[in-house]
Amino acid sequence: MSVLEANKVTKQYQMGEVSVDALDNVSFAVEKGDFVAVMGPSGSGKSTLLHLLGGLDEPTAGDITLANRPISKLSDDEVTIVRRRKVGFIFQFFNLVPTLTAAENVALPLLIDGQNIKKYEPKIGQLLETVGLSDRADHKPDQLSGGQQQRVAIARAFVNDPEIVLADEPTGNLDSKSGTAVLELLRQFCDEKEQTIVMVTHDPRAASYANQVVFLKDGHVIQNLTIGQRSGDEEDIRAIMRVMRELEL
Amino acid sequence: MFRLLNLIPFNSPLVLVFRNMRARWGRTALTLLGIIVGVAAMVAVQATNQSTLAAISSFFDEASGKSDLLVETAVSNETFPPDTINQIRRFPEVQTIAPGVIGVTIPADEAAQWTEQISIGGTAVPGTNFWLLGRDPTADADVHGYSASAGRLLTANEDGYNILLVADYAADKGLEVGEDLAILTPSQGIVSLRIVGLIPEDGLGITNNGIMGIATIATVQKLFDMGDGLGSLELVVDPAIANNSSALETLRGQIAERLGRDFAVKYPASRGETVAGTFSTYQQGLNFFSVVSLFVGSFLIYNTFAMTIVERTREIGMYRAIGMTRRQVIFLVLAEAISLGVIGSLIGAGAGLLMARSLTQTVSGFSGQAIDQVTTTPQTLLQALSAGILVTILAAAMPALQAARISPIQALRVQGSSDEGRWRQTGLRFGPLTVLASLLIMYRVPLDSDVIFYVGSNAIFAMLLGATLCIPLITGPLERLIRPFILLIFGNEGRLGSSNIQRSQGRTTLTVAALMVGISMVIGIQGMTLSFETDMMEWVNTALGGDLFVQSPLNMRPDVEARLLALEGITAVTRSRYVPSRIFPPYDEDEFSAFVAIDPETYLDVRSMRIQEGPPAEEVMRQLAAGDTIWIGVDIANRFNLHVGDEVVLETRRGRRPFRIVAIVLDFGGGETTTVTGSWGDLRRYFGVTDVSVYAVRLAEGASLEEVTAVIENDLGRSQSLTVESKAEFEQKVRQLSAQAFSLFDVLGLIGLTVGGLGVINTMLMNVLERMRELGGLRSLGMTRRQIRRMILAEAATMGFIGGLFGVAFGTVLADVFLIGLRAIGGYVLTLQTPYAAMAVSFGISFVLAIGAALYPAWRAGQVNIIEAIKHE
Repeated sequence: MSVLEANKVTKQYQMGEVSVDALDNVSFAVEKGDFVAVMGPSGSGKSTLLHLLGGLDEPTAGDITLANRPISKLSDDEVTIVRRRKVGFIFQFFNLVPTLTAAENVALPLLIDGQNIKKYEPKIGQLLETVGLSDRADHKPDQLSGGQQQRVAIARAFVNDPEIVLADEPTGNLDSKSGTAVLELLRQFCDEKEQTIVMVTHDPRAASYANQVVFLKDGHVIQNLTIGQRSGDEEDIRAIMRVMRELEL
Repeated sequence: MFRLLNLIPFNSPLVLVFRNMRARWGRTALTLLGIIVGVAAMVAVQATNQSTLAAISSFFDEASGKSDLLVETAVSNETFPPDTINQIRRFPEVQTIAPGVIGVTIPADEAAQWTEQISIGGTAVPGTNFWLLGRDPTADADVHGYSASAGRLLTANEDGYNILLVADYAADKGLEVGEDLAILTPSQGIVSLRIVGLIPEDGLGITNNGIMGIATIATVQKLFDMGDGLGSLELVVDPAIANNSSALETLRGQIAERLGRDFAVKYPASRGETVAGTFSTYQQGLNFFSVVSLFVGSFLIYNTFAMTIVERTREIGMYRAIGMTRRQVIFLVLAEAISLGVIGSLIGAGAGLLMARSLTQTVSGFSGQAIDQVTTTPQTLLQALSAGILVTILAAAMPALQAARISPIQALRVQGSSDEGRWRQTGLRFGPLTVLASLLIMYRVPLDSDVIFYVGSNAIFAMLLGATLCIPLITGPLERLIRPFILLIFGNEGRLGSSNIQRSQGRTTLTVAALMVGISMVIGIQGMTLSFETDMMEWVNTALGGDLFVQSPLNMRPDVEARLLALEGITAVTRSRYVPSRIFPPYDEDEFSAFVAIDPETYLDVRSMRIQEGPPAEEVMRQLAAGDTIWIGVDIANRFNLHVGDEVVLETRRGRRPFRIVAIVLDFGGGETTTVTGSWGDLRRYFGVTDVSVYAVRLAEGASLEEVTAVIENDLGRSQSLTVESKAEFEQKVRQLSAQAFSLFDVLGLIGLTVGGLGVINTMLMNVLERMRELGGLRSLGMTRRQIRRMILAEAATMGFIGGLFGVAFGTVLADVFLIGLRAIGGYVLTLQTPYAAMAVSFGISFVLAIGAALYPAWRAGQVNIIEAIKHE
């Protein structure tokens, strides 16, 4: 069953008098438990695709269905509620609230949803333990390293048991060691909790943690590569790089 | 287990609000200051006004004891025959009638230093003279019930000149029971009164600020040549009627009808209302400026909120991405506004009450009304709190909507952004139009005096708002125009700094606007003060004329004129006399007025007049001498819409008489008290008065002011208790009074400027924070810390320059509009004096204030760490 489906999605931007196709007739489906990496050069439309899939932006044409809801046809408030309850976001720059502690940042989506946080304390504690930050729960973001901040962001993304987690270059702002820890965590959520993840990246090593790689170029999906389940596998990395060379990405 | 709590329970989105406020404490403090200052100004002014009124009315309440009604002659300060008591006795509802008379004099030992002190109300400051109250001891026991703190009270059969003094006053004079107080009397010279008892300074004892004594009616009548006349009757009415306002009003009407038109039957408190009424124009003016303070405060509030939103774009974008609706975002911003509004308004109200303590002292100083405590009503506080909260919400509303418009995609971008371009568009669309429309309303639309204050005030706000919108339109060209000047001061860094002001248009606009409003307030106030003073001085020099003024605590005999003329060094003398009256204008309600009698024969020998409407001065004198004519001040003419040839009715001792207006002149003689000027003949004829209040004296060429003064005071004056005041002394007094009265306005102007300065600090700090990366870049290119600081200061200086220019331009308009307002509300017709000195100083202040406020931001910019800065997101 598809958790997410994009059907003939087009997105045009108006640049002065010229209209630019950021995405052109893209169709795309993500099954439950999939870990999909979206790759492509700058300007290929991968960020645009992520924005559309997460309901952050509206397509010019085509339909997107997320958790059985046609998000391209919903009002702003309705899409917002879908995002709040069905989607988790991980950003390149972590986007933690500097005035909140790590635990409070994790609890933020529940707070916005008007939930009783007290009831969720054990869950938040467990998530922090999963990301290895139990001892940093009371720390503010400026007391955490970049890798730690991103791990808090991951815990935040999973706190509301989303149908899908969308990650935008989650390792783009991290050193390789922290990056690996973050990717392993994502893989772990995927394997152990059957979480669905779509990750935009330009890093073949990061993409190798996924089990499916979608290549985008000039607004089109040009290839779909299924790879093995072993995270960071050298062979998978080589396969991804080969495709990239072939497609001149 | 981790701790989720951090002061505020983490169970509501409000936690985000409070954490943000705490994290950005500097910005929060600035916003709070904006609210506090505005609300404090409002509360301070209102509380000061209310305290003044409360003090006046409580004074009259306390002094009127248990009396429910008060009977006086229609022409106040006059006396009436004692058989009036018999007419009132016919009313069985009246239980007690307490008659009274007042003789105004001074103690003999003060005669040499005495000069008249006047208040802005145009009346004598209480305590300048000594009041000898003639009372009926038996009736007073029922009405005032004062007791002796030493000695005894007066008895019904008091024999000899015995008096009671207020204990504090007696102590000041070093007098005790059994000793004598010597006073001046009109015909018996110095008379000694035996002190038989002391009373505390409360109840009747607060009359004339306690500078008073109580004697029997017969004593005062005899000493002040009053025959058997009485000055007032205080009536105590059956409590069943006294406690029923409509029954009391009926009784009041019945007594008034029986006594006829020559009498006024009042409620004791109404005397307070008459006094309070003389301050109304002044209080309206203060109210207006206090609201302006809150208006300037709103700019600061808007600016800080708008900046916070830009700064938090990514954070808000993230909230939106993870599921916060637009409504929730608006709630976040408005919740912060409401919290700050409530806190700021509460602190502001407290600060306002504190400020009111010192303001009431100032008002007390020039109004002559002792104000012991600051009083205000819950409504006033509630009004100020609501205004503070509402203004904060309104100022934050636009940033809140801006925040709600933030797209969740912003969370994924590196830097926040703002839509600065719309400032120019909005400015272009509405700015000049709003200014034009408000100017048209102020100058071209004739408005009724009832609504002019409100419409006028709103038009001024609209003008300032329009001017604000015009700022982004002219900032560019103006900046280029003044750039050479900035370059001259700040060198090459000045070029960079100066041109930077075009970058954050919204921020620059509101900062310049806050400076503009502050400066224009100062200039408006200075322009008004200067115009007032200039016209007043012209009046002093023309209408008052003369080189010396001869006065006495008691009115002087007419023969003093001949004796003055006989002195060497005096070429001309003219006399005048003030008597209380009532004016009945054809189209308005009657009110208290003073009838000033002059001698048409000699007036122009000493004085002159500035005629606004009417024939030349000589002809005016001729018509005045013919009788039944008056001239009026241009303020009264405007207020009552009167012209030359119109007739007004005045209350005289011979009943109401019509007087024809022969001229309309510039006149400040009465302050806010309505005065009309008539002839000596009419004074004698209709008021039965022949004595003199003031002689104006013209000295011969080369005569020595000091010598003549000495001769008058020592030779002529000893027996008559004459005192001499030179024109210079009088001028000084008038100047001092006007400076005191306007000092409160200056305080409000200063508040406006302070908020403007806070705005500059806020803006420049924000600019520095936002441009960290750029500052790092400039440092890496070899710019020294000093150069960076100069660049920041140059930017602030440019803002100060433009704010000053706008402020000067609109301040001049404001001064002119204030004069229009003064004409419409108070009737004063003043000629606008452009306050060049104030303009230059204010412009300088704007420039220096902006630089001063930017010192800290500039220092911060200079401290920038290159590596950190270029990594700055």
